[in-house]
Amino acid sequence: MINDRKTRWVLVSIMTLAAIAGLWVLARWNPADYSFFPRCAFYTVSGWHCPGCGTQRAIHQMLHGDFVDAFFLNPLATLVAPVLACCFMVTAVYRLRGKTGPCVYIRSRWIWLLAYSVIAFWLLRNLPLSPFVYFAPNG
Amino acid sequence: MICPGCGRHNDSTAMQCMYCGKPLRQNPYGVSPVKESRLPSAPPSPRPPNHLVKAILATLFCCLPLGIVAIVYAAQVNAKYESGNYQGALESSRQADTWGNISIILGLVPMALYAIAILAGGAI
Repeated sequence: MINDRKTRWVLVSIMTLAAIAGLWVLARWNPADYSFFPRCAFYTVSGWHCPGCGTQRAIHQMLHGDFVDAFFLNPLATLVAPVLACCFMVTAVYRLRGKTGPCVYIRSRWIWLLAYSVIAFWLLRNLPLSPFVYFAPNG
Repeated sequence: MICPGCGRHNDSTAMQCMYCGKPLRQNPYGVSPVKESRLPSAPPSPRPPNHLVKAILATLFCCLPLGIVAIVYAAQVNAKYESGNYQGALESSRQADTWGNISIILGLVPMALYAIAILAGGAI
């Protein structure tokens, strides 16, 4: 499908520019202060935090170098973000060199750990108990 | 196993006839049994994509528990591939892809509409 060298460069360029544009918007305006950022539908409807609540605010803080504030807005997003950034860059280089298929392999036990962590994190950040309120974006 | 040389009965695991000494294992490759075990079997199947990045992005940005379903399927893809269940890994790969897409569509479309409405409202 992506055999053509020119097509590969165009696709990777579009993805990179889209990512940079999204990150620039998140860096330029703090989602905590501006209303045009999309809000969590799950939180709006249920009043419960989802595992992703606080991600946009956390990315804003990370882009300003404040990883501690980011961690308290969404620890999951803060821990996963560097891994995703690495995956994105490795995949971009991999695709530009004309290789197809998956290029980053994570053993299944780590993905299971991630799945259980996300479920536990989702439940715990909704508990109104002392250590867990820090898992909530406004805790 | 019947010895083709003397016709007497031998143990089925015997390498040579215990009566006449004739080799009992006919090796079509003409190599020793130790090397035979290293002969390549079927070529390795390509690893199916587990769509984990999509699943994580859906979990973080789409505000729905559906992203977790996609992460679980992503784990199944690699677990089944590691245990040699290639068909199962392919099926889990399709499920991970589908649930990631469902999550993104259900999550992002209302959000995009909301953002457009806010921006349009501010412009008017």
